[in-house]
Amino acid sequence: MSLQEECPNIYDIDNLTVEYVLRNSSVKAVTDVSLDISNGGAIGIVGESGSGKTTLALSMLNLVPTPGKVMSGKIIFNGDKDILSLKGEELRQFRWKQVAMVFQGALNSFNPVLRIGEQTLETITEHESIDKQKALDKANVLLKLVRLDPERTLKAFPHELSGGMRQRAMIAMALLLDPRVLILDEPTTALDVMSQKYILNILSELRKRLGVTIMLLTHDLAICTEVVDRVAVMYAGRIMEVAKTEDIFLRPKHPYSLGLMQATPSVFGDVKKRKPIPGSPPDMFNVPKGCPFNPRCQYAIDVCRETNPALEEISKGRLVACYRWRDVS
Amino acid sequence: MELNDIVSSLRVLVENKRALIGSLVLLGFILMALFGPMIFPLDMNPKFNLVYAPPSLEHPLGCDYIGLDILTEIIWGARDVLTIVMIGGVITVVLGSIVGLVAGYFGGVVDLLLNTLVDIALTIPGLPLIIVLAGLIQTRDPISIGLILSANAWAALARSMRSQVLSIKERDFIEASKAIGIGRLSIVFYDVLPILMPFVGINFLFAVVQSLYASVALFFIGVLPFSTVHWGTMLNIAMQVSGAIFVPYARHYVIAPVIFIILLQVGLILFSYGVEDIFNPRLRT
Amino acid sequence: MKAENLLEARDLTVRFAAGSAGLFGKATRFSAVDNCSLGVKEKEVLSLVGESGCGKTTFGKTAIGLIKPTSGTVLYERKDIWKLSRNEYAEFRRNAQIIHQDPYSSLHPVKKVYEIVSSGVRYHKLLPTEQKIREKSIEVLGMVGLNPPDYFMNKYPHQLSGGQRQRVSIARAVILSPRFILADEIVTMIDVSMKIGILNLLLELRENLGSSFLFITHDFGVARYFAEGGRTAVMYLGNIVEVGKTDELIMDPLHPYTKALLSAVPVPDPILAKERKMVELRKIDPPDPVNPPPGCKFSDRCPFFMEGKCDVKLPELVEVKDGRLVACYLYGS
Repeated sequence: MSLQEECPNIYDIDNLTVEYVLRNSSVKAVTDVSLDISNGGAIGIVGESGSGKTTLALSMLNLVPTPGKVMSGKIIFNGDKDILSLKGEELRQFRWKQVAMVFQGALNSFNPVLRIGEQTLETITEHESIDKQKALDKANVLLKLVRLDPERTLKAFPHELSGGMRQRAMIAMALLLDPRVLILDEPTTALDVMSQKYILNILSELRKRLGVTIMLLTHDLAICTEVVDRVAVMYAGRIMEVAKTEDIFLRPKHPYSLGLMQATPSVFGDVKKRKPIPGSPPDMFNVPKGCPFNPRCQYAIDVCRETNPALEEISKGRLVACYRWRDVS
Repeated sequence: MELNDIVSSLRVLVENKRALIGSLVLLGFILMALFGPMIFPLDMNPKFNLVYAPPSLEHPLGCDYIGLDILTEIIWGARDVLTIVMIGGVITVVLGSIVGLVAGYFGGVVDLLLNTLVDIALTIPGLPLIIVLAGLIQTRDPISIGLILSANAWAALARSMRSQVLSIKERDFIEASKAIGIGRLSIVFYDVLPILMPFVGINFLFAVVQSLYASVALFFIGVLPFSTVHWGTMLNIAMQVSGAIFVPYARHYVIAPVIFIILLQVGLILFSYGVEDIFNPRLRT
Repeated sequence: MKAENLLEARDLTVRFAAGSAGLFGKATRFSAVDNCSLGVKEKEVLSLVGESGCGKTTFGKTAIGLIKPTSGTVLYERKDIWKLSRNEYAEFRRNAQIIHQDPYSSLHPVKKVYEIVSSGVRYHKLLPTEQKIREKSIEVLGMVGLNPPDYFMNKYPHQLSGGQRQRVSIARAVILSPRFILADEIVTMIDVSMKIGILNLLLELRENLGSSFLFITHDFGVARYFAEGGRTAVMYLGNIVEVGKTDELIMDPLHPYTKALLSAVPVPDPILAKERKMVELRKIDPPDPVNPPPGCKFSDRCPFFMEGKCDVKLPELVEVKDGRLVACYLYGS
């Protein structure tokens, strides 16, 4: 059921830089990010705290909160819309209808005194001129897709549902207006392992059934083995590596990606081979000169400390920002 | 408390504009109380030619019902006023804090007993209580007066301290102290109280303001034995003897103490804006 | 259990009130910990794995005496900790420490690192002079990797990163050289790149101090890394459902819940991930902890559910083979 539009990329992000300007200082949350997201594809953005992935996602909806400002760059949607120049009614139409986002911790931001149906379905039908019955039918279909009992869920208060159920309800509601893209920010962080697995399975199914493009933000590299076919690794506001899922896990070419792989304790695999990444996440007020990862990198050489490596395409669809990518194994 | 901490606290105070103004005002009052009487002698002899003299260069605030300079009286009164209200504030806060901390942290029977005490204290109306007490215990001793003033003011503070403690005691670092084996009383005073210092500081200033008004009220009504230069006393005399609000030419006699009472209150409240900053470790670094 | 247990929980039950009593009704009580028995030996490492809400944190805190159990006993060196003499209890208290999950709330916000770390030593007067206390604190800060120690001594918690704060928490716990440490989800809120660093530190400290660990986590990968040579216990809705040697338990889980849990754990290997199928459960979502199903609490979701057996009585934890305990009627409970 996927619609093949003429434009192969649903999102073209070019040299995006977003800065938070504070009283006496500023933080570059996103620096020089270029990324393409293919129509109907699923991409995972992996990054720890300070990586800038949330800011990146917010800019894709032109939702960066003040004091954040987009300093440079372009975000083109579906080949023709410049997101960053959208305003007013056009922007409103774009958000939620073309691109929907499930925010981090959304499952906990339900209003506890309203029923789920009241605060989601009804709110949407109030604000948009949609046939109420059609919306209800759609909601029923979507809720069933995420394995929830539609009637029971819409009538329930948030506390009557488990975390996993609330998150699934959130996802179903985000899809109510048939957005082309669904962005999820850490959708499974607060959930137990089984709910997490269900949600990832459900996202794969939704992608197949509805043809929606999915962008998944996470700090947990391991969940990128599900749902997504490409992974972009971010560090200190920059993209370090972009590759197909298999390549990132089996053949990482950036020292940070490699480090993450080695630093993730797993149920399988050799325990002895686990190594931490030395040092700590960067202080975003004082990002190191050159490549931001250099203080922690075992492959760092002088040029790494001076100039930031550009993101190069080393093979089709595979990008790395590292001077020594050839030596990484 | 090292020198470093004191210096950084002062720096924080200076950066907060409102607190800075407040502390300057308070400093002014303190200097007035400490050194004023030495600089401006009060001649208690009546000068009938100056009765109700309006403000002039020689007598900036005019003169009272027996020709004494009002400004000098205010300055002399500052000492009594500040002493009494500071003591009242300290007693209120110390009593209220101890009761609130112990009731909140220890819980159980202790909490039940103290809560009952607090409830009783709270149901008795404040002003009438202190009027009755003052009338019964005729005293000039500032500490006794301070005690009377805080007769039930401590109860409201005890109640709010208790609720603060109830939420703090669930925090992880308190549990860690318990695991280390630190005794309850030590936890209350060395772990819980430091967190509440801004709360205590602000409540102290409010307690001082409360004492100010309570003491002015007592002296104004005339329940406490006179010390002629207390501002409340001045108001009393202004009203009773001179009928000052009815008599236009004696108006300055009433206005002067009122202005200084308000000024002191404003100074205290402005200073309270800085209290939170002083105790905030983030601002010190 | 051949060797003696240093710390042992027997038939431990901890009940909490859930919801309000209402005008006429009784308050509903639910068992966060329901009849659990588990022991940790000297120098042993035991990982306690379970999803959020299963009672593992409550169990841990009850085991070290921070929570009073509704019924059951906790034995330290075979003595009931709630019946110890004052001196015996003081000794127990010093030897049972906790490291909390949230580095942003486990340190006193208005105290410097030095004060925080040395509070135990100072309170119990374990060292005679301030100078000695200072030296000990510096030593311990060095041990937890906060170098140079002098730099960190005068910092406030808000000046430190999450990982550094966790190290301060660890320093506070180990300065008393306790024989038993409860580590409650200590790397859950730490960035991925630093998790292993903290776990390695703990393992090192275990070598040097010889402490036992009860390591609570919801992440099987972390549990495995930490308790590789030790044991792992799995909890579900207040019950311990399986206990065994870590590697054996992971390679060959017996209890259906353990099997389901392991099948759902994400694995950073895309090829392996494609082959793994999650165990099909009869119901996706867990039951309301206040109202679990009768009998075995996993019965409403378990693919091996046996009507008439599993929904009648809670299965007991029995030894199925050497060192492996399971609470399931499939294994003759």
